[in-house]
Amino acid sequence: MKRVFSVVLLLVTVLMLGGCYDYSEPDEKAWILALGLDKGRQNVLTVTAVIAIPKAIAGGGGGEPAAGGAGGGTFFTVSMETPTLLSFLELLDAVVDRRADMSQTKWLVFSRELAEDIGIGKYFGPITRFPQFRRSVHVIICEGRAEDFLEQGKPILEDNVGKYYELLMRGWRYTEFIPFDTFHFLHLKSNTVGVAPVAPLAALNRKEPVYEDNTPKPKGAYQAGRLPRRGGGEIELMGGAAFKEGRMVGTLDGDQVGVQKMFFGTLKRTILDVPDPEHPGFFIIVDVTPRYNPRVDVRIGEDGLPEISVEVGLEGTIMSIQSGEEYETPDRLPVLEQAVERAYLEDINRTVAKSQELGADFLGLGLHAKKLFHTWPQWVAYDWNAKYPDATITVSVDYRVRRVGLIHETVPLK
Amino acid sequence: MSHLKPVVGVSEGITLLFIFISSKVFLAHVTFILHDGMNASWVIPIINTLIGLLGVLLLVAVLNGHPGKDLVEIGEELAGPYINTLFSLFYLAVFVIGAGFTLRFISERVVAGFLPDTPISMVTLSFLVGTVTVAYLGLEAVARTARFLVVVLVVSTLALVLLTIPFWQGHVFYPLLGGGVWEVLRGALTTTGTYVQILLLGIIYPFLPQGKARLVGVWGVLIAGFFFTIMVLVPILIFSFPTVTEMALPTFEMARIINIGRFGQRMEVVFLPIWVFANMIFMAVSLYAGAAVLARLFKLGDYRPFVLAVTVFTTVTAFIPLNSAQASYWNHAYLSRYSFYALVLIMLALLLAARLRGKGGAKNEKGV
Repeated sequence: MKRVFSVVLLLVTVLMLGGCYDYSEPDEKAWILALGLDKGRQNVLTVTAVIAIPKAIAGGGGGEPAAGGAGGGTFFTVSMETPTLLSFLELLDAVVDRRADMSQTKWLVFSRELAEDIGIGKYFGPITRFPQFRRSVHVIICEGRAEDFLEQGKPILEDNVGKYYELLMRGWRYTEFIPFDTFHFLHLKSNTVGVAPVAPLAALNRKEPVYEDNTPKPKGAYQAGRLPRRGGGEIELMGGAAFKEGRMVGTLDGDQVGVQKMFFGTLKRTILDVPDPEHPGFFIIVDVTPRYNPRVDVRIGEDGLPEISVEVGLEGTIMSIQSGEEYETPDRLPVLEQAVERAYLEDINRTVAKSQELGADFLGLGLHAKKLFHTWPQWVAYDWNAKYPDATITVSVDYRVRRVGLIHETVPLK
Repeated sequence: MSHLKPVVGVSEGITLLFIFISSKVFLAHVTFILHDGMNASWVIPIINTLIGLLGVLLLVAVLNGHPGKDLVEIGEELAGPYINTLFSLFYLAVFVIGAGFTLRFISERVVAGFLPDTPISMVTLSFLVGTVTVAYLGLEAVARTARFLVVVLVVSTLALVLLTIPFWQGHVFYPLLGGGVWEVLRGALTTTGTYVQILLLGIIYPFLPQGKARLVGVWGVLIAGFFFTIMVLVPILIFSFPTVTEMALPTFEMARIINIGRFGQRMEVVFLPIWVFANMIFMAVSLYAGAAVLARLFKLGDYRPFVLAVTVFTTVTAFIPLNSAQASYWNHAYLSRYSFYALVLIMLALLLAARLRGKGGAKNEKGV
C-alpha cells in the first residue's frame, strides 16, 4: 500500500514539474512603467501607458534619447479611450504584442482637470484591490493632459525610464518642494478623519516666460508649470495638489509643501533665503533642518471650536550673508535667528491659512486633536473637517544657528 | 494512535499548539477582529488570550483526571457513547471546517495573488498532497515538521514586523478606547473561537510527557497570543483605522509594502513560506486530528484509514462556499465566534460527569 501511495505521489509531483499554468517569461511581458489618466475624448477616460523597451535599456539606449509615442528609444507610449482604468489593460493586448503587466508601475499620473472635476477617489479601488498595483506607486497630478506629459517626459541622464521616475520622486529627500506621500499615505489620509492628502504636482517645461519682471521672488513661491527655466528635462516636479474627499481642491507652492512635510516629519532640510533685516535688498541664506517634530497642542474652546498652538523647532547653518554684515558673532546671532524665525513663520502662517481656506487639514492637526477624545465614535461625531476652517491656530518658531559654515567672520568688500 | 508512549516532546507540543492556534493570523481572521475594537482592536487578542488560558486550564483539569486517554475516550467514559458521539462530532467539525475553509481561502489567495491562470483545483491539490502525506505519517511527523519549520516561521514573521517599522504611525492609538470599552469587550467575547483550537491538546494529550499538558497548553496559548496581538497591532500601526479593515489579508499587505530602496521591494515572495508553511501545518494537524477523532469514535486502533476520509470531508467543505469571501465569513461565523463556548460547555459537562461519577477531576497533573 505504501509503495503504491508513494508511486502515485511521485507521479503527481512529476506532473507539476512540467510547468504550470502561470508560466510566463519576463521577455514576453510589456512592462508598464507609468499610467496616465485624462478625461476621455471618445470614452470616459483616456488612459496612457509608458511601456519599457527592455532591449534598448539593456543596450544602453543605443545612443539615442528615450523616445515618446513615436518609439525609437527606451520606451513608447500608448493612449487609448476606455471606460475604466483596468479595461485599458485588456485593450492594450490588442495593440501590444507582449502581455501588459502593471507590477512595475512607478507613477500613476492624473491630469489636473480629471482630479478637480471627477476626483481620483474612484480610482483607489483598482490600486488597492488589483494585485499588480502596489501601494508604493506614486500618484502625481500634472498640469495639462497626462498623455502629453508622459509622452514628452523623456529622461536625459537615464536610459531606464523607470529609474528616471524613481529618482525624480526621490527628490523629496533633498528638497522641500516635493511631497513625500506615496499612494499608501495618500490613501490612508483620504480615509482618515483629521488629515488630508497632498500629491506631487508636476508639469512639462513651460517655454514662455512666467513672470514679467525680475523683482525678488522666494524660490519656494514657484510650482510646477510656473518654474522659470531653460534646459533640463521636460518634466518638473514642484509643489503639491491638496485633496478633500478624493477631489483636488487646490495647489500648494514649494514653500507650502515644505511646511506640510515638516508637520509630518518628512522634511529633511531646506535652504531659506531670508531678507537681511539690516540691509534691504540683500539676502541671508541659511540651511534649515527640523530640531524636532512640531509640538502641537489642541484644546476645544468653549464655543466648541479647536484652539491649536504649534511650536516649531528648527536649527541650521549659515550658508551666505550677501551684505557682509557680521552676524556670526554670538551676540549678533539672535538678530539672524529672529529674521529666519520671521520668514519661516510667514511661510507657516500662509500654509495654515491655505489649509483653512481649502477646508483640507493637510497639516494633519486633526491627528493631534484625536487624543482629546476617548472613543472613535466620539471623535467622528465631533466632525473635525467642518470645524477645522474656523479653528484658532497660533504658531511659534524657534530657530537656532548651530554652525556658521567655513567662514569665521566676514571681511567686508573694499 | 497505535501506541501510547510519549512521542511528542514539550517543545514540539508547544510548537504544534501555537502554530495550530495562530496560523489564522495569516488569513482574514484579523480583519474581522478590527471591526469591533476599531483602532483599539489590538486589545482584543490580549483579552482572548486570557480567556484561552482559562480554557486550557479547564481542559487540562479534564485531561489530568484520566492519564493516557484523549478527550474522545474520556468523553466515552464519562458521558457515555451517545452523548460522546455528539461531542466527538463537534471536535470533528472544528478540525474539518477549520481545515476546509483554510484550504479554500489559501487556495483562493494563491490564485488571486500569485497564480491567476492556474485552476484552483490544481492549487488545492498541491496543498492537499503535502498535508495528507504528513498527516498520514502520523503525529510524530506532524510535530517534527512543525518543530523544524517553526524557526523559519518565527524569524520570518519577526522580520516582516521589523521591516515595516518605517511605516508605523503613533497617532493610530488615539482615541485610546477605540470603539469604546464595551465594544472592545464585546469584540473579545464574540471572537473567543480564536482559541477553540486548544482542542488539539485534548487529542494529543496521551502522547505528551506525563504531567506536562498544562505547560504545553499555557505556553502554546501565550505564544499564540503574542503573535495574535502583534499581527493585529502592526497592521493598525501601518495602515491605520479604518483603512486596515479593507484588507483581505493584512499580513500579506504588510509584506507588499516593504520598501528598502530601489531593490528592496516586492518582498512578499520572500515571506510566502510563512503563509504556506503555517497553513500547511494547520491543515496537516487538522487532518491528523480529525482522523484520530474518527478512529477513537469507531474504536479503531489505527487512525490512518480515516486520513483520506477526513481529506474528502475537508475538500468538500472547502468548496461549499460559493466564493472566497463566503469562505472567510463562514469561517468567522462558525468557528471564530462562539465555538469556544461550546468547547467550554463540553469541558464543564465532562467535569460535572466526573464529579457525579466520582472519577477523575480531583487528580493532579500526574494523575495521582
